Amino acid sequence: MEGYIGKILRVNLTDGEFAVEDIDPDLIRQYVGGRGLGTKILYDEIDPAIDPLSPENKLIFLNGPLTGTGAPAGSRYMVITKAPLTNTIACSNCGGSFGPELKQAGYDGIIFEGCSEEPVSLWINNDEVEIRSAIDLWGKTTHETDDLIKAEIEDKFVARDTQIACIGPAGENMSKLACIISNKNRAAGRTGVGAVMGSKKLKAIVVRGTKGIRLADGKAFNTAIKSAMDKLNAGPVTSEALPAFGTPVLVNIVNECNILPTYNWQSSSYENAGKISGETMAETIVTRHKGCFACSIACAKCTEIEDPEFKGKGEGPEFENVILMGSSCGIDNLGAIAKASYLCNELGMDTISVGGTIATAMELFEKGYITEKDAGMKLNFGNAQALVAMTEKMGRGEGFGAVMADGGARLAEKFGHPELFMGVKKMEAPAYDPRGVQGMGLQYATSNRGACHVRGYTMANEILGVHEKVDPLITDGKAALVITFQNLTAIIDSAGLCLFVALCPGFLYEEVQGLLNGATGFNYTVDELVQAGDRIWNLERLFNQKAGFTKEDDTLPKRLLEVPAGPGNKVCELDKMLPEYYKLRGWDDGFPGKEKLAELGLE
Amino acid sequence: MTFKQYLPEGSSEGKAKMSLDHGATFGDILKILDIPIELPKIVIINGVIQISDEINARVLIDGDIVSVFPPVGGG
Repeated sequence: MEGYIGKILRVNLTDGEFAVEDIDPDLIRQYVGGRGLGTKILYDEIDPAIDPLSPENKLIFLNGPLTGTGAPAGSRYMVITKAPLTNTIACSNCGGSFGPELKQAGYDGIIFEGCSEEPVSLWINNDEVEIRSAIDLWGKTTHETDDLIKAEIEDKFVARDTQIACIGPAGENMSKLACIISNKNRAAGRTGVGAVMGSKKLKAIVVRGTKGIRLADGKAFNTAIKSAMDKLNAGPVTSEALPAFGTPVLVNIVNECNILPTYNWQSSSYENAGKISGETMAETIVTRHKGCFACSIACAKCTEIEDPEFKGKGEGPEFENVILMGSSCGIDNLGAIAKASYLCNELGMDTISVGGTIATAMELFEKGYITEKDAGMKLNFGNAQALVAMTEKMGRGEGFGAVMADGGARLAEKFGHPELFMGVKKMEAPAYDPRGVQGMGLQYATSNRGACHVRGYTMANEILGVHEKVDPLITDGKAALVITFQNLTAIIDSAGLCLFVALCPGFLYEEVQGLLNGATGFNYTVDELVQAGDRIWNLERLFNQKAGFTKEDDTLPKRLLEVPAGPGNKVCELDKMLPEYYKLRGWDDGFPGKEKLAELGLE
Repeated sequence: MTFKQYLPEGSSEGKAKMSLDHGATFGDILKILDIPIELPKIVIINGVIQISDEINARVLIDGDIVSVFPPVGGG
């Protein structure tokens, strides 16, 4: 195998056994790698109806064929499992250097099965694999865990290069918002994959790898890298906006477009957006820029808060959680938002879902459905201290934080007002109000892991005009647009690239094709990759069908469907888009039928 | 890149009020502020994103709120 190693490590945590297995090259070709291949493995090996926190669930870490090869932004590893937050298929995707290191150690990925009785960590040093006790690490934050593991390694250069993926207290407590953290601040964030790791009592994976990665055609690969780099360097978003301001560069524009979730989506613009914008961050709290492995974009922003009340340093916040923790909670204090983000990274929680859950709690509190006695604090909109305090309690599973740690859907239901949860399939929605960007509404409703922006980022065309300009307020053509982005994203993810490459004009299938063919020698055609994206999407959908989902689950919160807002003073007209979406997908009654399955080789 | 350098005197937080002649267009604003015509990627008028290729000819009326951004992205 080239590009890919062709080997996967299977670890049974119940009996402590492990084995290295070959991966069928035909499967790699059909599913590309990472997200696609991991979904295929999970679909074949578990019953999708199981409890995601039971020992029967499997936890798959898997690279893409481009991960670690030097392909631009090729840093990603993916975590595929059944999701505790949504009960759907999960694939959470993470940058940094863990994925590349795992490949250098000689593995495309790891499949964890079963459940350990005591906390353990998995140590990999090339061919040496060892399961060690992690009793001393249990209860530690992700930052403490990282430091303690590195302190255990005698050679300081080896320690420096060792890469770690771990959970914090939230994962140990099996919070449905728990994520997996690498490089202290990079997260496989969404859908609660950290809780699955916690359920298996797996605290950390520690990897050192010094092997090379073979490429099929070095010359072709270098040509493809040059073409990709030329595009990334010429693209104004990837060469200027993201390097200078990071993702929060979006705050002002999303606010000006009146699609900025505010006060738990009761409003779509925020009077104090300027105080929490990327421009303000760059002027006040950003200390330096940082990039993932082999990435020229370097969108990560190291920040420091001097305000004694929220003092701290770390990375972020990112656009999504600036909004979910900021305007959606009515909070304009950048220090508090940054502090809550740092806590999420240290305690191991998804910043988007934590922000969304707190915003839901604040609306429940303002309307009197949650009392100060219930919450142990005032949870009014605008309460910056409560944002930080509740984030910590959620991460540590303390008091009312333990109730909120399973997300906004379960919280709103528990207090009798499920309509105040702003998400889909129990996952909190990201920071674009679909009443003013209709394609994103269809995307949230149909995403295979619940309300998500990075499964089909139609914002790229509907607002940002990256590849072409499309009117965000109309519904015509949106079904096709959503499908195009969903399938393309499945390929970018599965290849091991960061989705931000697609914010570069013209960085579409052809660029990925060039890189994949240079690395793997598969000689993919673009048509084959388009079909592979479709195959991956359909297989995820089949998983969800077997997990018990129906087309009635493809919906949006009542507020977005019934209360007009935004620039067009419209609702999200999902009913106009969804039937066309199913039709263009080739689905009968919301799911792929025999004909579609045969077309994709999924019978 | 930001448009900060093109803001007129007296503006704050990236915002400025402008008095324009009757019939002035969006393109006229760019000329007055010396913004190179090819720079704005995203134009929003009164909260509505403008997708027309003819945006520079769009006539403005009193009270219009115009937002201009260079290419941005994220998420």
